[in-house]
Amino acid sequence: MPHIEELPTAKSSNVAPGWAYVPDTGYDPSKAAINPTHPRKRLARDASGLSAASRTDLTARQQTAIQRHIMELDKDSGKDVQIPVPTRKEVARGSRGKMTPNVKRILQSQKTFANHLADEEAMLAMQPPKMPSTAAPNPRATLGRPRRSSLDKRRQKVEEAIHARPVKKRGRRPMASQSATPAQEASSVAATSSTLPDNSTTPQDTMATTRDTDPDETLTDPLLQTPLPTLPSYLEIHELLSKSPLSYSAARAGPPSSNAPPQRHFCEICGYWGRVKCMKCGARVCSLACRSAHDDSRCLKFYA
Amino acid sequence: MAPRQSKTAPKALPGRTLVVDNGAYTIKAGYASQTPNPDQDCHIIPNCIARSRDKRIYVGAQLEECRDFGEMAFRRPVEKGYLVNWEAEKEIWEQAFFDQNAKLKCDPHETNLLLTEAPSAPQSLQSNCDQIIFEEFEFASYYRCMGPPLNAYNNISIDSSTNNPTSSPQPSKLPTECLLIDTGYSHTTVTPIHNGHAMHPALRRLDIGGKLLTNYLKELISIRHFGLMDEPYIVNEIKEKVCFVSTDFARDLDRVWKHRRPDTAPNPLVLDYVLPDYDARQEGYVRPRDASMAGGAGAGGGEGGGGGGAEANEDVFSLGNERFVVPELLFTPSDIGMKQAGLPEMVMQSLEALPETLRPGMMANMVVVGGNAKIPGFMERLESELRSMIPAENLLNLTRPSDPVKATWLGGAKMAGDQDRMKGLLVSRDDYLEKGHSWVSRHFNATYRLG
Repeated sequence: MPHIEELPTAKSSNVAPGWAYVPDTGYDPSKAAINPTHPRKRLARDASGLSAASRTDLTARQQTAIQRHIMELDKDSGKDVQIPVPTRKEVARGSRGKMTPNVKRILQSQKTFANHLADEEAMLAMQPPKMPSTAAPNPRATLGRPRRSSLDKRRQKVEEAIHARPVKKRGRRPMASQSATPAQEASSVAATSSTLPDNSTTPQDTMATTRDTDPDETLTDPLLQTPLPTLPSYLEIHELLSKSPLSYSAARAGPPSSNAPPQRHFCEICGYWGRVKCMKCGARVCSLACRSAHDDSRCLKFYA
Repeated sequence: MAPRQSKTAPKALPGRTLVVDNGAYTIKAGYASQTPNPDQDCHIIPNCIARSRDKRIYVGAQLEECRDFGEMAFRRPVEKGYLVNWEAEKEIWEQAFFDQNAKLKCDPHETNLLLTEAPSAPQSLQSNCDQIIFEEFEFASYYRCMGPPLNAYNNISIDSSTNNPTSSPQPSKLPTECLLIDTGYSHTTVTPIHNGHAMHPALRRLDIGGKLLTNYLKELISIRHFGLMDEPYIVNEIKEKVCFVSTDFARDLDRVWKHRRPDTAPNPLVLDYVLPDYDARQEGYVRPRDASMAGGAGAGGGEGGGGGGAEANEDVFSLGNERFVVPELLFTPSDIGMKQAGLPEMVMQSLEALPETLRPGMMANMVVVGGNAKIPGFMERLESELRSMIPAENLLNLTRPSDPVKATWLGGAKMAGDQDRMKGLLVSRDDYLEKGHSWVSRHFNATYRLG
């Protein structure tokens, strides 16, 4: 049987209207409640280790409840409030012309952030994976025409400066904040300065400044020297600065490290350590008093 | 190249620049100058359209006129830190910048605009924003930039020593490297900055901000004391007045628990909060725990109002571990089951994404901005946790500007005061009309990246 594979195309316009490629991120607890699968299927899936993240000691139902709780906490207002924008008199438009179609479309858009984010992610998933060398695209290339912007010129100036004056320049240097102690100065100076080109050639010269004291005075003191590995070259920093911004999901902080303390549990009623699990719903309580309060009002309320 | 230069060069940019830090909770706005003064030049405008229980609608700064915040409902155009709903935002901007009697009234044709956005914004939102700025408001020129790196323009050592200016006789300029922690209403971000530019690969975001803390406190109070689920304003007020970050969480939790009975000695950790009734009391207030009241409003969570205290018509409840359990989420998000590292660990994750040699400089220059930085104990706790994580020979220096809420605006205003710098960044309306919004986004993206 021939192997058919659809290759991602660069242009999104080739896609037929009405559908889109969506990245399959595996088991999503937020969708489990909408499309509940048969328990047997779920067991089989969990056993096969499809999603390692979901194989915790929590059941899918508990995970869904936690997920929903976090989403609830992240909402702007408790209930979905509909507040209309008050109508205003047309006088206020003043000298401005008529509303353009673009503006009308944007103002009438009812899209939420989740919609925009889904669009963005689908778009990113469609893009062909970039080669490492093109990860930091040259603005000249992205601008379409071989035309030099002021930014290009600045960049070239910086590059020229680097070639003209290799590693050794010391003496004038950008500095750490005033409140820094000598040890900190030594470290931050060592980390930043020695390979930088002269400040007057960089575009950032308004922000970096020089100090009156001689840097070598502080650096020669053996007590203040920090054992640092080799310094990053200016090009290395430049490379780091020229990466394009991360996407929304890529910028999210990672999970806690594996040697972090285990999750803490609190009593649902009073907030003290939750030492006892409710047999029926798994919520935590701390004492008999809280247990009975839980049984009276909270237990089975959400799981009935 | 030549035709473009000759076309833009003769048309001078307007002298005035409006700097807008468009936060989810408040807009920080004002005109730039060489030496901006945050107290006079920066105006804080609530970024919301609110509806009171008598169905009156307040837009932005009109909220000051409101006298009854009971059951207040809010509509916020900025969602999760990103400007999503322009229908509402336009109304707030009109009221703040363009109406006849607006405090910051401006003629957009004669004004430059510097607008901040949260890091890693979706492209569609960015391009919506550009289109509205040029096609609807018609600003003469405009620069959209990420908020956190603007703080690099702040003179941090001056800010932190405004109380005793003699301590820093020579105002120093900003350090080349700085790790900026911005903990706002929607989320908390860590941005390493080098020479005023963000180092994107090391940028990290924790999805916890002031909003989530308020909602969590709302939930806790509603379970234990009063149903305040529909009172975001009141709960936010409570949060600002009573919450603190504990330096020793387990110890404080035990302390509150041991003193839960009314007959024990009074505990400074437990406070009574008197709710406003918007008749005699416009604002809720805190008072030390009253033992005679506590019988009714004890740890079990009975209603305090019927407790038979000093005044019969007072709604009182006591707050114990809620005071520090809520801000604790910033440090241990796993307490509500969130699978993200806490703020100190996120800082370490961000540092690990940097070359090893840059780390010492970053550790020595950490700056915290944003409203949550004002929670008492926040800085001390962050410092002690970071201290235990970074190598002992590295110096750790954590600063907070005198006004962490306005810090980003102030940095933006200082940058905008530098005309030469702005010339390379601003996009004029003519350019937009000639080259279109995709060119504008590409231009802004290029300025984000360049080192």
